[in-house]
Amino acid sequence: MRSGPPPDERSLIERSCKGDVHAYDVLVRRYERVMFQLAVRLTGNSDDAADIAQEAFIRGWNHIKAFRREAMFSTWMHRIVVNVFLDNRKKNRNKKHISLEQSIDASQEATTMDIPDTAAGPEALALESEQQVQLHNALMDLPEAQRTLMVLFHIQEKTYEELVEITGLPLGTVKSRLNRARLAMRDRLGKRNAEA
Amino acid sequence: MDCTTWRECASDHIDGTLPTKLAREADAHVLICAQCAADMAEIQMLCADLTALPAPEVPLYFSDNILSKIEAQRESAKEPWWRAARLGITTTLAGATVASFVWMQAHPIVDAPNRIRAGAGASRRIAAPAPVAAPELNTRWMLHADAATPTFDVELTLLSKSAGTAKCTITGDPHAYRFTLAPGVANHFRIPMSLVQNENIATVDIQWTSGDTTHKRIEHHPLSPESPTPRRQSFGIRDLPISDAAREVSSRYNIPITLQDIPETTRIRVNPIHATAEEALTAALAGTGCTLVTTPDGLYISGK
Repeated sequence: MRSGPPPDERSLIERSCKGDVHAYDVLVRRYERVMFQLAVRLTGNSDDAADIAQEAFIRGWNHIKAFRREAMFSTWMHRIVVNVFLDNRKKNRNKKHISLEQSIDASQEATTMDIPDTAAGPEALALESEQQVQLHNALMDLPEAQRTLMVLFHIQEKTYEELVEITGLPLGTVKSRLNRARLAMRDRLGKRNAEA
Repeated sequence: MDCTTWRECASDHIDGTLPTKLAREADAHVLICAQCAADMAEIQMLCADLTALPAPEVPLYFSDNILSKIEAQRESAKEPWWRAARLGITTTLAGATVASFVWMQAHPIVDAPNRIRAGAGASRRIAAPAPVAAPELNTRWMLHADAATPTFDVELTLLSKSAGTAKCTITGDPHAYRFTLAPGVANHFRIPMSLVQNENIATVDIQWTSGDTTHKRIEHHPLSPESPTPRRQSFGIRDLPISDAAREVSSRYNIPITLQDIPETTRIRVNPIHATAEEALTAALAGTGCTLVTTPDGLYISGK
């Protein structure tokens, strides 16, 4: 049974609702590590992750009055980070264009165009082993919705119930997506290992 | 159970959330199907590896930046008129600058006196200060922080031939301190500091009158002999009124700063990377028309 935030946290939330920035600062410092880690695993990029986590905390401040007192603050913040991540991906997807002026020589038999990979390499995330790098890459290959569930369930160690709360999806959808994500990752890693 | 059915319920099987009957069927399937058994083992390993991924380090000043952005957001919400009026003010200032240039061309100043006191010989002038009509008031503040009741010993010297009066107010202290000043000599006073003990800096607003002329200025005096921890709320993050920015610089670099005739609408942004208060303010004040002078008693910023 969940009874909302612990007493000291409840008081910090109450004070934040009344406009006390320093109370909110305490909450930010309490959860910055978890939220930043979530954002890093979703984006695969420390810079984007910092932007997303910061924007999420600012959204949290702007909407703190809408926070339901019986919920957990951390679950609420997880939901905001995921929403900011998905919003940003949507925006960036709409912005990705390849200029028509990039010359493609039609007279050549094969036409290739190098599109730079803008994501930070796994080295930027201080991954220690080759295995961790492969795992990270396989995670990043997943569609965003599946990646979100994998990160929340396995890295953030959320329960199915919390996943439902954070994503707003029905339990059946959460389970089936998580299942597909696990199988997809296993297939990708298996394929890479076979190629190696 | 066949392979397709097992793959559909693989997660539930691994997590142990399948109903008993289905769980038995799934167990039986992986006992006879090597491929699904291998998949199950690999997924279990993959899940364990994901949980063991190292946690990335949070960037420096992460939460500080959030707080600064929230404060900047609140500040801008408070002053929507300022942004709306900015264009008009900029246009007016530009017009005034052109007019004053034309006036100065027509009426050149033959001999501009140095308004900084004689003892400032070691100072480095950033830009030539303009002349002022009001008599200069020299101030010297001696902090006695170790006493049971911290006090400021104040020395005020009015560089004028006639007597005058001065009124000092200190932020956080409800009292206004009024003094009568004899001309040309050092006048000594004592101000108790008990009401501003929680601050790391005293902001003193001084108004003085001599003859028909009234003048005022703001002085920031650090209250600790050691450099205090800088207040992190806005330094280097957003534009501040010059007086507020000077207060933060005074606090961060532990140096007294005096401000006189500062335009109230001008805002500056101080970059905290600078090693000294003088460097930080020189960069921040560029283009504002204000002058910065280093004196033996600290920094002096003038808006004229």
